[in-house]
Amino acid sequence: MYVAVKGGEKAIDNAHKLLKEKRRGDTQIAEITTGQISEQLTLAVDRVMTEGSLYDRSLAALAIKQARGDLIEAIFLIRASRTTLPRFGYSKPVETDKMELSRRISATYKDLPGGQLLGPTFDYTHRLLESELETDQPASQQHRGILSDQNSIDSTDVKSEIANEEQTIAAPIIPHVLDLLGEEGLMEPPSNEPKDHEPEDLTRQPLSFPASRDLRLQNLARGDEGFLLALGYSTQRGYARNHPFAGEIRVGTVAIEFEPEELGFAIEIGEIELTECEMVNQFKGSEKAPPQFTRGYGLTFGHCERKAMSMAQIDRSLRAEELGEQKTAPSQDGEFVLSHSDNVQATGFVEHLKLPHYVDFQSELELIRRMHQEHDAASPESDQQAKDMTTHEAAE
Amino acid sequence: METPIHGFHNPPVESSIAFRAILNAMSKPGTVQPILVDLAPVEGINKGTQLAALTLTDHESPVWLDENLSKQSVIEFLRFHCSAPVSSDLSGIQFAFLSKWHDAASLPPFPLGTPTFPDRSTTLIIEVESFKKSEGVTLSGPGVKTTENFDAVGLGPDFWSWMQQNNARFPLGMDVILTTDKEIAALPRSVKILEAY
Amino acid sequence: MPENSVDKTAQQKWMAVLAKADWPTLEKLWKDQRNNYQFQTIRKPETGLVMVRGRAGGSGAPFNLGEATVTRCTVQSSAGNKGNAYVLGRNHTHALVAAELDAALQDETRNGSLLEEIIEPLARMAASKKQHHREKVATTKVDFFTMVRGED
Repeated sequence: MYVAVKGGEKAIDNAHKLLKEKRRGDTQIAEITTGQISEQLTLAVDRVMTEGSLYDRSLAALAIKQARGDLIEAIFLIRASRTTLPRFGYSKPVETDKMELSRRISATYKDLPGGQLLGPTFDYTHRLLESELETDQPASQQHRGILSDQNSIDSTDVKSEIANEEQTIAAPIIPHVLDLLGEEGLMEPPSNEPKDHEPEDLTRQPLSFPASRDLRLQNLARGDEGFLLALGYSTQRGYARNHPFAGEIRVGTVAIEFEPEELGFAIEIGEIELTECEMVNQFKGSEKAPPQFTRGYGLTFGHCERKAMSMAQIDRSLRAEELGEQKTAPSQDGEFVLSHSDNVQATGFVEHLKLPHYVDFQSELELIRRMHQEHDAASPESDQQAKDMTTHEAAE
Repeated sequence: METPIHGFHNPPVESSIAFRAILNAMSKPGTVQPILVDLAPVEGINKGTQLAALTLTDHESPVWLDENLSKQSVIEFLRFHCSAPVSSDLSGIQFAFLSKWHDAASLPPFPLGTPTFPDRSTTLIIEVESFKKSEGVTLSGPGVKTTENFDAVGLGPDFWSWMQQNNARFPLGMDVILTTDKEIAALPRSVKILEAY
Repeated sequence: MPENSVDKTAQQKWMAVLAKADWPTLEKLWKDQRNNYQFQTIRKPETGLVMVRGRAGGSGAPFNLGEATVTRCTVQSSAGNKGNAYVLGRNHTHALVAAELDAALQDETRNGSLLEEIIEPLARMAASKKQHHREKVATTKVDFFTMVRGED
């Protein structure tokens, strides 16, 4: 139990001042800009957006700056910030088969329709530090993108520059690898519920168990990367015996479509980057279903590949009951996984332990003192102890 | 061509003021709360109803309109400013807007909540002509220190007996907000009607 | 075909182009034309959230992935056309300009020239950026060969 305390305002104010100073660090060094964070610490921004459950690069960058790079603190700031904004509604489900790809790989097929695109990846790097990164490079004077080389552009420049460009080419539809297996009947369908199923929303109703798959996916999508990674790892090491194949991983941008109540028709409101992972698992078959592959699904904002993979592993392990598998491991226990995946909740409860618990502790202290005294009063002199213990043992 | 600008002009501030008025009305049944927000008139509904709609409804709260209010101007206002879906599926209605109290028999069977979730009931927003403090009924119950005299002009004869029945179902039941162009008042389901007409 | 790839109206197309437009370019293209119009603001730019949905297994039942910031705005042109904008992010001026252009584009006498001078260039620019991106990504296309193992 937590009992409120008063006082300490001055110390708290000063602590916050000191925090500001520490955040700024050595003033001889230029202050980091949110633009630099959003452009150059992109994967930190992506993680904060995914686990903060809010797609907004510049807000995530600001949160990282304010939190001095503590990503869980930044995620906390983003979660707090989103509660101040009104909800306009729900988007149409994103169509990841229409993704404008920047990466797409499969560990199950080397020749897959649409090809394998490595994209910007750490895979195949040697994990050697690149000392040239220690030297700062000045900003390029070039305007980013395809526009003119000049620093300032006016509208006539823009017009002439883009007049020569080709007409829009829509991204080709690249089917999901697992759906190809589905056509052969060797892969289960992507979900049991129909495509127009209305999902539950854990930002609106509290989590209750057993949780539906849509609720589990929402929880895992905002869950802590480290927690899901460790659980995913545990499934591979034998706790749930779930060694999967990465059927497909894709990273790229998709359009967001939204139908405002007052318009009555859907409009594209912009594009966001997503990472999607589909895991393939074996399935022996049951009374209801023939032997076939089963699947686990992961989806995140930005480029969060490790997270998407872990999420797909856990999505699959949480389906143990549905698929008639024996539940033996933590990763198969929905209540355990979903109740502990959220790092804002977790940090809130763990970190509250450092807040004043003086009254609580005083009562525990008194209790221990009394018990200690009672114990001392009941126990005989020290030289008799050994003898007593033998008689006790004999009595037992 | 100038169209009057509807809705809140400064949503964070004005919606807080409006919410406070509704909160005061609900927590002190029978008190009359002035509308301290400047609203452009919307054809078909009074300003108190506008205030309640702007403050309480959104895309997640299906609303119901009685026949008199089912006008293009009202529907458009609710769609545009509140994003509130106008629905005829009674089971999901969160707010029902009535141009006046017709009679208990013609009130559709809106949800009354469930014992586990008594909040899942419909709130009625009923337009009245004016409020009176001197005549009418005597209220008591949570939020009323001793008793409160209250009346609204334009409520039908069986409104108060309906309110008594509504209270008898507590914790289930509907909450009521009464509106005019200048003021609002509220009668939550917890209010007791001591002396009906 | 996915259900929302059915033919879009001209208005849906221009609203999409405006929402996805490169902001500095849109601002510059509109600056020259803005003076020919008068608008009244019906709903000032306002930032809120849209809950983004995904599908289990990529193509199955929907689930809620997480929210995104969105700014919306509504204006009315002197000709009486209502222009709306919903734009990802928190750029209020972008939403305002997109709403103004949506209203202006509904005026049949101006539609042709605005499409030609603003919407088409923006669409071409976006397409060209995508093409450029695609070409770069294509350089990382890989062919893996399975090594044949020896007999023993």
